[in-house]
Amino acid sequence: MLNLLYKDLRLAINPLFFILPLFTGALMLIPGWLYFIVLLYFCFIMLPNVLGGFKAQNDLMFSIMLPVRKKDIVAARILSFMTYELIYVIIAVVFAAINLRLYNDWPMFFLSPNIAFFGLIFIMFGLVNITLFPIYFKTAYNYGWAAIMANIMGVCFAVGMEILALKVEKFYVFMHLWNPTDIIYHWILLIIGIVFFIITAWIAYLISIKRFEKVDI
Amino acid sequence: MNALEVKGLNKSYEKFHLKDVNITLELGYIMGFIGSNGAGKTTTLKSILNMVHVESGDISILGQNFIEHEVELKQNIGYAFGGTDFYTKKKIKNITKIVKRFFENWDDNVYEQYLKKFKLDPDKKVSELSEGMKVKYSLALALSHDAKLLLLDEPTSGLDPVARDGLLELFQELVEDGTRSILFSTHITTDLEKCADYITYINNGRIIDSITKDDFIGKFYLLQGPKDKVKLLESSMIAFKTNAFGFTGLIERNRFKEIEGVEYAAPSLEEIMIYYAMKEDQNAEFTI
Amino acid sequence: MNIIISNTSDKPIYQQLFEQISGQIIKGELPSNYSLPAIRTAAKELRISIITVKKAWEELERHGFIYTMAGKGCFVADLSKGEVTSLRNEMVNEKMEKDMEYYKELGLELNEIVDLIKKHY
Repeated sequence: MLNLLYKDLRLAINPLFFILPLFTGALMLIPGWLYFIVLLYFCFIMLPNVLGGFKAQNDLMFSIMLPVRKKDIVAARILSFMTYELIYVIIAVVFAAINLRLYNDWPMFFLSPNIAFFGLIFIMFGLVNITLFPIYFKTAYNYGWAAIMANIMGVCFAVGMEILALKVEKFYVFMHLWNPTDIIYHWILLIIGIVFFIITAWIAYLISIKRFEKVDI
Repeated sequence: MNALEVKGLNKSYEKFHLKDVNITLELGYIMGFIGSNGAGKTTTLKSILNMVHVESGDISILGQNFIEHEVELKQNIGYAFGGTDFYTKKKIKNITKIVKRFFENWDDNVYEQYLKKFKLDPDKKVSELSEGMKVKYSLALALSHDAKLLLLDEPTSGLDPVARDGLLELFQELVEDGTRSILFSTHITTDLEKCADYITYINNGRIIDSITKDDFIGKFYLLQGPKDKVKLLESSMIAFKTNAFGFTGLIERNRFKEIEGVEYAAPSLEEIMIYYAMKEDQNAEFTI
Repeated sequence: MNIIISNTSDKPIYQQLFEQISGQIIKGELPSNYSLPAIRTAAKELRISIITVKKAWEELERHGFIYTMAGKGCFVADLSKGEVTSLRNEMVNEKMEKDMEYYKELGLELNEIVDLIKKHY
């Protein structure tokens, strides 16, 4: 399975895609922006391109002939996506730290890229994954519909959170850490986000292997 | 020991059924898998590898159940699916680097030897290889992890006669020490006449026969005779055709008794295939 | 040992092998204890099926032309002159039986057959 993950990362993905998060991450330096977009770039660009690459390269036939089980292929694919998502998040975190130092006093209309914000980001990726993979593994080949649905899910969550912050004052206050004692709750939200990210991936895996077992290659 | 044993394999698609497929291939032999296009060769090979979902059937490889020991058994199987290319823009040395990680028995020395023997340039991209070279690259990979069973789907299609002959000679070399088996599908019957020990003939999803090549050819007679004798043989022949000078037809030897004026001879594999296909067409006409 | 396989002949290939090798043994071209090539090697060299070679070798052994030593291969049997003659006669008898049947079917009398054989010899 680890070998499959290595294969996905080494063979299937254009190395350019590992540089891309540096550019999108740097967008964190735009003051007062809608920072969800930085991470949504993953869903907009990387996700369809990577899945398209697998299809164009006939990866499914290649993988199935290796000494692996079908469920290993599912696990490796989901883990490889979680890896890219983490790369995007980690790079974004670095730029977000710079952002917070530079623009701490700037007025924030949208959510500020702090610890709680990244908790929401993990929840967003969790929702994206649980939408994407079960649809994708109905064929493990066609990815259009799965990518569209995953993108809709990501965008809806981001928009929803931003609207919530604008409409519900308590939430806005919490997210912008106006009560410094709330910092502990920020960390809790981050941990909840990470746990959600892992659990959704696990559920996506369980549904996907069931569907993929039925696929005729 | 049997390299491969397929028992009672069934698989239905909307317009095509694989019906009760049985195949046994002993270790150390070459089996040719023939049938016209669409007869079910690729589906059978894919079913053997658990790539498609079958309704029923038992597959054992090297004496072990495939579903239960899929990962271990795949270590001992080499594949080449003709006409399907992966990662064509990658250099073969880079693909090898990935593939070798999966195999416990991988031997770099063996790999290097086969690269040399097959004149494969590791810096070439897959897309730059000819069809024959692609098959050889697949074989080089399979042999480097010491595959005992080689499953090759149409390895000779797209090859010129010289390359094809070379590949068939290689097949015989590979089984010479008796520790490897090759199952390869083809619709080019002369491939089999040159090197196959066993023949499995599939027609419209059904196995017509799976026996030694000599027995298979020995099972039939090709008949030739005047038109007025057709009536006598019509019901026992597999299929026949008539022309201005008489008829020719295929019959199983045990259903044939000598008739004056009717010549009989051993048919070629191609002739057997043609008459079976004719039978299929005739049946189809009746059902319409 | 020389073998020429004809793919266009009506004779099964194993029989071609059998006839050619047994002929060479009877004529003394293959000395006793001469080591026959391994079945798989012969198949590869002749570009024919392993099973065909096996069948030919089995036939040769059944008729007593060769013997097998486990793990070492097949060798031409150590045949005395008398044995060679009886093997030869055995084969001739087998073939003649078939031929006679054919001639009888065509309605030939014994003296006619003898005359024809004399003419062709």
